[in-house]
Amino acid sequence: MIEIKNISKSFGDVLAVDRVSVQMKEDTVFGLIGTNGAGKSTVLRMIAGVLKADGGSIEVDGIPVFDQVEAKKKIFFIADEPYFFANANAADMEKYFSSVYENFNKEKFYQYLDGFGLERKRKINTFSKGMKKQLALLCGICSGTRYLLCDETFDGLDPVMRQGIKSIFAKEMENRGLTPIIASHNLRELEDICDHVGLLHKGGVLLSKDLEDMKCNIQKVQCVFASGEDGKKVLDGLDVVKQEERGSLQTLTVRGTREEIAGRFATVDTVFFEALPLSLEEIFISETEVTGYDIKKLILG
Amino acid sequence: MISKNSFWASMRENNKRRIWLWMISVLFWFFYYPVCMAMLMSRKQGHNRIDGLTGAAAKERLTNAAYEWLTYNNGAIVFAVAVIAIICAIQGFSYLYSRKKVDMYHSVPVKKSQRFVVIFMNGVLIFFVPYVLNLFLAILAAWISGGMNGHNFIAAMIAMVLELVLFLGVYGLALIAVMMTGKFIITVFAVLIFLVYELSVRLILQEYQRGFFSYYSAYSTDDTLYLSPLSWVMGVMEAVDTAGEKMGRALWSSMPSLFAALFMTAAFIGIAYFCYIKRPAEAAGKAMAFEKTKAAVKLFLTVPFSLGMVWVISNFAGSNGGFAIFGIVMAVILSNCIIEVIYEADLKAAFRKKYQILISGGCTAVIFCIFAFDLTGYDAWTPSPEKIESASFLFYDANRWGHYLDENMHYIDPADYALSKPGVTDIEAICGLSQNKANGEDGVVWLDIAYRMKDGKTVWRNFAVSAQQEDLLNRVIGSEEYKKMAYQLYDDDSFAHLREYKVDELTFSSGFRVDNLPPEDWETLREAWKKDMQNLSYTSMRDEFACGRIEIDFAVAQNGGGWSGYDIYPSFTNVLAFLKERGVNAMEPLDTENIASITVCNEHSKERDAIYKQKLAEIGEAQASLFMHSVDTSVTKTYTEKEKIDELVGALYHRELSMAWKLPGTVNGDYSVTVQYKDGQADSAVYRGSSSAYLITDRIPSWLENETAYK
Repeated sequence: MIEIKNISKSFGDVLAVDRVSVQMKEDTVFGLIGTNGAGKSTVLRMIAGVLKADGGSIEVDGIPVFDQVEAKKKIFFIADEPYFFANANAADMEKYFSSVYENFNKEKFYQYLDGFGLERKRKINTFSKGMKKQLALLCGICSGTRYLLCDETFDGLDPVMRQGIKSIFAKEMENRGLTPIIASHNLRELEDICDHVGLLHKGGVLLSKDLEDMKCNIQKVQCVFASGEDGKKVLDGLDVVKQEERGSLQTLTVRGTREEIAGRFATVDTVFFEALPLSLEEIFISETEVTGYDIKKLILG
Repeated sequence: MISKNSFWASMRENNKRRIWLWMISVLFWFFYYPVCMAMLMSRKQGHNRIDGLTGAAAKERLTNAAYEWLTYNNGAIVFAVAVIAIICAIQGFSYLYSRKKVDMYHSVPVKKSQRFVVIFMNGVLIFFVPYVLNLFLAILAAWISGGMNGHNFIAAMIAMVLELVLFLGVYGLALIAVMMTGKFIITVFAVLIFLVYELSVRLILQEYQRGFFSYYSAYSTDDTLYLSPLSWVMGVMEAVDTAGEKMGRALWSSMPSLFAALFMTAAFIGIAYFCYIKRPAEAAGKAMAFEKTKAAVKLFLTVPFSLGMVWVISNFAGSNGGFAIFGIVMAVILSNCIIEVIYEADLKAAFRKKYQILISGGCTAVIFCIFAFDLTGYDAWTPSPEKIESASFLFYDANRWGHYLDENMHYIDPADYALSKPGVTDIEAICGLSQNKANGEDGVVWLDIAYRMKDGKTVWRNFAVSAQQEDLLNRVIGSEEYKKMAYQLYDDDSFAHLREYKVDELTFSSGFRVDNLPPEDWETLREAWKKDMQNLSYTSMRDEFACGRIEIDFAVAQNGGGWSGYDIYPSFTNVLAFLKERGVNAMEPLDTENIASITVCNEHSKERDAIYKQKLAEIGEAQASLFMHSVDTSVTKTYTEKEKIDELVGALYHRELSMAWKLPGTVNGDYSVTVQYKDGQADSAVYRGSSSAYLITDRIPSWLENETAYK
């Protein structure tokens, strides 16, 4: 397990990560979601032992990570722009990673390489951005480390490749307990791969939950109340994150399980009631809006 | 079996990233050593054929050439090694400039310390392996051509060790620059600053001392560059290179410098390692790696820069206080803003840290005021007699031709030599001179004095004393201690060292002629000279006119020293007798029979000055100066009559002879004399053509004054 306790990191006057505490359990896919500048990359770089936290602690299976080889042996970090040696090819990278990761699986690496159609002797600087990301992922998967830190790694991968990587993840998780930790702002990409998400916003953690729990604990409700009193009665007892009204149709984002909310609405007279699960993107927008961050305004100008 | 993550595997992988540097190093040393050595030997063999040299002489030419190329080689190798060291340092750790690379290298399970050692060691190997292999190929090339001997081989091995130390020193310094910065161009600047900083600061402070302190002595500043491995190692290289057969002894006596170089190197590498371990990953791409060092670095750069700029501005503007203040303000603001812009890579950041500009300005102003107003009391300081142990003196006029030689026959600084000998212990005379400083330009004796205090300190001052202080000057200059520190040949210990070397040439030069003396007689001559020197005093040197100079040239290795000269006065009866025994009449160097004519030119400078002053009052400085170009007050006469030539010869004082200690006017500067010799004279000691001389004032014939009078 990767245990992050109260870590902070500043770059000059900018507080990039502010007292973040998260646990990343084994055998799950952890998604680190956040807006641009939320501190996702910084957190990953600290987990990888590249950056030293100003305060707090990061432990990988009980070992502090910064400048600790034993901890780093358990981690492979794929940066948002992975670095490959000048004029190197895939085989050169394999040789390098073989020299630093004791359990690097060469056979599997070349097997995957061939499977993905990446030439082992072709210079990497002639690869497309997506091919480079595939190669970085393959290096990481074959490194034999328990934790694979991916910073925006799935951006730029085509759907077929993404599915391929997901399959490999699933296989590796089953075979040797690989724990991918994926940072991204692309919520749709993470939705179908992550078991657990941590939502970063302005350097702090808004929430860290199992995806299923999260999805089950927030609902989008569309309803038409029979009377204003009915509406008031129901809304007073609910944790409403967001409320929109178009004519008599109310669209609510409400915390709670589907059953709890439906039970509450059953106590009053409604013309129309429907509880829908939120997409991860909707959950993200709702949670960030609560803290005054209106992502839609930013996106739409 | 080597484990996958072992040190050697890391070495191998790191070397794969540095193949181009290996190639450059191999090619450079290949062309520098075996190729150039083969060409050099070929050229020298060609010279031997042209000159018809064979046997030992031919071999000596080859070995000398090979020696030069294998060793110090006039500093060329120092430059090459320093450049390679800087390239190795920057290239090896250049990944620190890139966030992408840092993310990769620092996330893999390799200890920081191991990564440092791997990159560091590979840098050393990239230099040293090609260097050594090609050095041995060069030795082989020289040996095949007949240019090698045991001495050359040992010299090459010593050079190899010294160049490794030099490499490590510069490498360590460059590594600190890499670790402290986050951009390539800033690193290059940092390396250059590290290499010249100490020298620059010292030069600026010296200029301030020289400019603001009336009694500043240039000897008070230590020239050693303590923080420069280049300086330490080059000192050892020069000493060994010029020692010839005494190479081992030179190396032994240079051991303190070598150990200093090693110590500095170890310190630099240690600091670089510490910085590497402490360096934050986020420093990649920033100007400075450590936030905490920014303010200090800025202060250490801006203050000397500002002081230097103020000095330059003051030199242009003269002693105008307004310009000095303007210079300080401008230089401080400009330098602080430039550095802040570089730090932040943002023009708008120029004035962001105004308090740092104020601190920098304050420090600059304080240092400037310390010098300008002599706040340390440098000029006011006078030694307390009870605190003085002794004093060493360097008189401007003393021993003009005396070069001081160390045990290895290298020229050494007169101050170093003087301080190596016991000082003058006549405290009353020392203090007397200190208390009678003179300001006038004429009739003064300039001196540097090193007060050797009882607490072990040495304090240098420079000032003039009136020539009227004859008693005090005689007490110092006439003392045994002074003669030992001023005349190396006088001191028995120094003489014992000098005796180890063969004298190549021994001559007596009167200016008009040069007589060769048997070199093997030099010790006899020294004995006679020492007897005469015992009576030497300020008064005798002031009142007597030197009749010539003894010159001794010792046989020492190439680039070394060995030449020394001593004035001979008419009162030196023992030396004159020695010379006479060998057929040299020192008192009558010119045979009037050999003189065709003597031309005397009287410049009439007083009359010229009077005309200038008159014109200055009439038409102003610019016009007066222009007018003076058309004025010729000189009167020239040529004499061929034997009687007049005989009379003039008695008044001649050759221009090459010492004017030391003479009171103003004793030699008349208005008269310039040219002695024209007859053609076809037999005496080989006499110069051909003509000689230039002055006239001794009280010997000028009255008829000459009349005949060259200004009309």
